[in-house]
Amino acid sequence: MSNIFRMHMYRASKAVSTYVILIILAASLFMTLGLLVIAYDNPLTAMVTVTMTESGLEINRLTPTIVHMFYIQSSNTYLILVTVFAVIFTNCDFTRGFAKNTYSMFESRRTLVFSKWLALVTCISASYIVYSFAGLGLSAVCVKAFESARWGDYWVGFFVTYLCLISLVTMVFWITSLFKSPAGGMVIGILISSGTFALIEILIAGLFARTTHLDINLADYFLDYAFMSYNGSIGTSATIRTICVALVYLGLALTMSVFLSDRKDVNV
Amino acid sequence: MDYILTTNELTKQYGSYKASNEVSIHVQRGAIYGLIGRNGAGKTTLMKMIGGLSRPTSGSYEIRGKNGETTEKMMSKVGILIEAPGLYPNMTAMQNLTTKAIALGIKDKKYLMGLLEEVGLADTGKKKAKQFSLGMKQRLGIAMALVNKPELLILDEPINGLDPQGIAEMRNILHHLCYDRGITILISSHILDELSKVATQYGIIHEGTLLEEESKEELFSKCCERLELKTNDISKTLEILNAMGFSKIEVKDDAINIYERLNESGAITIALAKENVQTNEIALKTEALEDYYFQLTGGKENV
Repeated sequence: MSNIFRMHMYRASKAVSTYVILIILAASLFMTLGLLVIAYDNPLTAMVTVTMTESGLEINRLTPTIVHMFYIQSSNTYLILVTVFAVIFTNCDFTRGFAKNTYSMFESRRTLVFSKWLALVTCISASYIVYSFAGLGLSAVCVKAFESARWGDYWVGFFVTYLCLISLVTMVFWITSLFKSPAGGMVIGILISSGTFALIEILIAGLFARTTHLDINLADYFLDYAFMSYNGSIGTSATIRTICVALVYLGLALTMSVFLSDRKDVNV
Repeated sequence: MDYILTTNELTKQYGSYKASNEVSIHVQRGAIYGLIGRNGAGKTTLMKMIGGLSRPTSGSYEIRGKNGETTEKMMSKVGILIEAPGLYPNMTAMQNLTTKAIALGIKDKKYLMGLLEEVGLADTGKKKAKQFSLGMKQRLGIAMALVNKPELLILDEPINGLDPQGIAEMRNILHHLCYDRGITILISSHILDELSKVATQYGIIHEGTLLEEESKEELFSKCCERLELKTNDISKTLEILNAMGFSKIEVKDDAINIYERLNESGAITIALAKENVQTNEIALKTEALEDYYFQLTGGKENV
């Protein structure tokens, strides 16, 4: 398994697309910072959080959590780039026909698919850590983001968004593996990451609420909506729900990807 | 007989269409097994199943006498080049080989360079695979198939689209791999002339069904030039031919095929006349591999 993992890391390191995405990601880091500065200076879009403390209400203009969410979630650039990378990474060995070289030799396709997923998650995790910390560092310098930092909240937000992101990437991995179509995977991935699906989910949730009269927002149980609506200060129960939703989608998508690989012929 | 690969009624069905219909082939260790068939005959489907890329609908196969789950463990001893070689176009030849080598846990760069030398690509340096000619890509595909030190090499149409020089280079590589390194090769092609120059065993496949399987000698005895002799007394004719020293003789239906001393038709006729055997017909017949294939598969209209 470790050999297959290393193989995927090696090919990612040699792929032109990896470097193109890294360059766009670096550019996006500064563009997002620009948007953050504009939003920070504009009274209409001022980023304010109000927190109840022992000494009363505490108003923070900008916190590390808000900056983190702005970089990872609100600005769609990162999500779209991650999706594009995931689609290319997942499909590349099939579109190039290289999969024939590996699928013909190994006993377990499950190991092959799991190793590939692990390599993808490693790449995404590295980008997540570098991108979010770089964004945070730049914000600290440019917009005094940490005057009243609540690091406990930040790390919870960091973890929850990471989990949602990995879950989302695993969904893209599964869809792309299933259809073996880069274009299809790209379109579906971008629709998810751009929030288009979330609109449909809100509509479905609205219809569900009207017809059943249940006090449940169904949209909370759709991964992309749960991810987009998570803002780091939605309360403990909502945070736990978001974690659970992410874990369930992650588990399902990974299980489907790994186990369905056994049944499919390699047509490349 | 020492078989490295045998298939037992291997079948692949898509809906009601059987791309491979109960195919049973027997590949001898050290042979170059030529799978002959037109496009769509089922050669690639069969090779994909043997190569582990496609699951058989029914039937089984044995590699080195192992079947079932143990067959899969033998797959590490099989190298494949099916359809186009699976290469990353933005990588060099060495980088492509390295990618597969990493998957197999092979770290020896000298070994990989040796493979490139074997296929004549050692001097490609930083040239990317996308800049390679078709022949170079095919040769790199073979090098990729050799990374895991296979005992059985499965090559699907490796000479397709190659120019004459490319075909000759490929032929040399195949000879080297089989005779110098002892690798058994299962190769498919619809270029029969070319296949006949390398293969030592043949399987003729048509519409998913294996029509014939025979050695080079058996096949060529059916294809080469012969004297076809028809007389009114076959047994007496055979006695006369034996007395004349003919040994490469075959009786088929009402005719006697003679495969040697083809310029002695006059002497044969005189000898038969002396013994009161009437010669109804004596003619020099030539049947190329291609003609034999057409005859077997139902004529040129099927090609």
